[in-house]
Amino acid sequence: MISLENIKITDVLQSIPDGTVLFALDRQVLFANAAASRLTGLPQEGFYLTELTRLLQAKVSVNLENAVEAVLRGGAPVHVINVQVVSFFYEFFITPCYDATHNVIGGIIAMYDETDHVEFDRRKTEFVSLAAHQLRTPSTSIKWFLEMLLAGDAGSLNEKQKEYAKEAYQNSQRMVILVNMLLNVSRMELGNFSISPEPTDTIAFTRDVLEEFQLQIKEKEIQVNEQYAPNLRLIPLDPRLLRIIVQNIISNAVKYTPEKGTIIVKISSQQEGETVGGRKLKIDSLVISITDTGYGIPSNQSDKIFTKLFRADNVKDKDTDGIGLGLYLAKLIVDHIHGDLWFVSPALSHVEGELGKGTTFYLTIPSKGMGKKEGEKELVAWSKNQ
Amino acid sequence: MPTKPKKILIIEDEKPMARALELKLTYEGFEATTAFNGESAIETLEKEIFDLIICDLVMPKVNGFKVLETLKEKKVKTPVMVLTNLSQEDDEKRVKSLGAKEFFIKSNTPIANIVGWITQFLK
Repeated sequence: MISLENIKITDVLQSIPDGTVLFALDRQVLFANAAASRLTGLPQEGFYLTELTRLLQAKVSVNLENAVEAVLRGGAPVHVINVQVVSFFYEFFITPCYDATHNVIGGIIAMYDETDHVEFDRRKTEFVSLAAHQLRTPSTSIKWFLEMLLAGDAGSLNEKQKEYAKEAYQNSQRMVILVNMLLNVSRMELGNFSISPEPTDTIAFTRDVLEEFQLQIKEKEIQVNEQYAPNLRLIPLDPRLLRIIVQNIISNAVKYTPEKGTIIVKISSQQEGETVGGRKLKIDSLVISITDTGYGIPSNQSDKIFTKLFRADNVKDKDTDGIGLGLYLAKLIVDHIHGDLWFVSPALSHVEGELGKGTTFYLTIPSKGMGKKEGEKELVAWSKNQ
Repeated sequence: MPTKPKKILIIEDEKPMARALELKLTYEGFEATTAFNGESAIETLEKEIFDLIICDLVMPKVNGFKVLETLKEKKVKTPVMVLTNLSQEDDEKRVKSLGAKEFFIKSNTPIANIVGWITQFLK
């Protein structure tokens, strides 16, 4: 008769379609089921975990060893993502095994195959990248033809015609920006972009970006208050990447600040351990903060602000131009260069409907700057002469 | 006596882009000729002399880099402006080392700026 006592554990493990590895305290593998053996090319028993970790990329290997260590010591299950074995992607779940007196005596690694998901996501991103690239030519030529029409190259236009052509021109320009953004997002997501740092004067750089928004700033009579720390040294930064980040934050500040509002731009150098915008710095950093007196960010939506295609409810009707990619892209880049980007909105501490107290965005960049990275593609920054 | 219009060769495989450039340059008083690929551009350059070349980079078969290399080999002295959608700094460095005078990214540049640069350059 079947009962839990007389079932062999190895028979149970063998029947699991996902790779499963049972190991002892000394990290000797007591049993690897057929799926694990097939996946790793290792035998079903008689080897140590080091032989498994040797198959992985250095960084993941360290993660896995640390995870095993944590499980054996602390006893809590650990989840390791993005484990690549040959050309397959896995998530590893590592769980402890106990004896009758609840002492940890080993652990189990369960390997879940994520390859299809990873591949599906990569294909989607590749498609977006390709589509965006293909859209650049028609959108640019539409923009050029409208520019010529407006310049009177095809004969002078009457007021009404001018108004219509101008509207079309502005929207074609928007389309070019959107296409460039999509291209950037997909290149970031695919990871095949390059970083080319060069010594950068961040104050001059920020002023230059502010200059791009002069027209809107004047039109809305916004006061810009600049507070820069003296003697800031040059930092190796990729100007295109930095431009995308700073441009997005300033653009939002200008867009979402009502007429006669104020924008405060601060740049300083801060040491590890100092607190900035409620966060303790983990490393010496350059800090750029941009405060506006805009509509603020509703507290119930604050955790979504950096997600793809998100637009806060309270500004959707005020600015129909927003796409919801700017901050997502900025955050992707910041994460990549080991910086940080977050915001503080006084609206967070208020009840709904009491918005409008403005927002401060904090951008921190490691003082040592960005590291060089080779890549097939560069992100597209758009400049003021666009 | 009116001066002879300056001759410009546009090397561009995307027809709408080539057409826009041709129209704008003609409107501004230049004489524009288009080659839709690198091969025919090199053939045209063997027969005719131009004051300036506008050259795309990504084109089937003979791309813009190859065109620039060929011009260098053949010691053609006509100045080249590269107009592309490739935005790598390395690409800009590479075309400049091959002798290109200027590098513009199509989607970032108004057509007026392109023609403005040409007018200034050919003054």
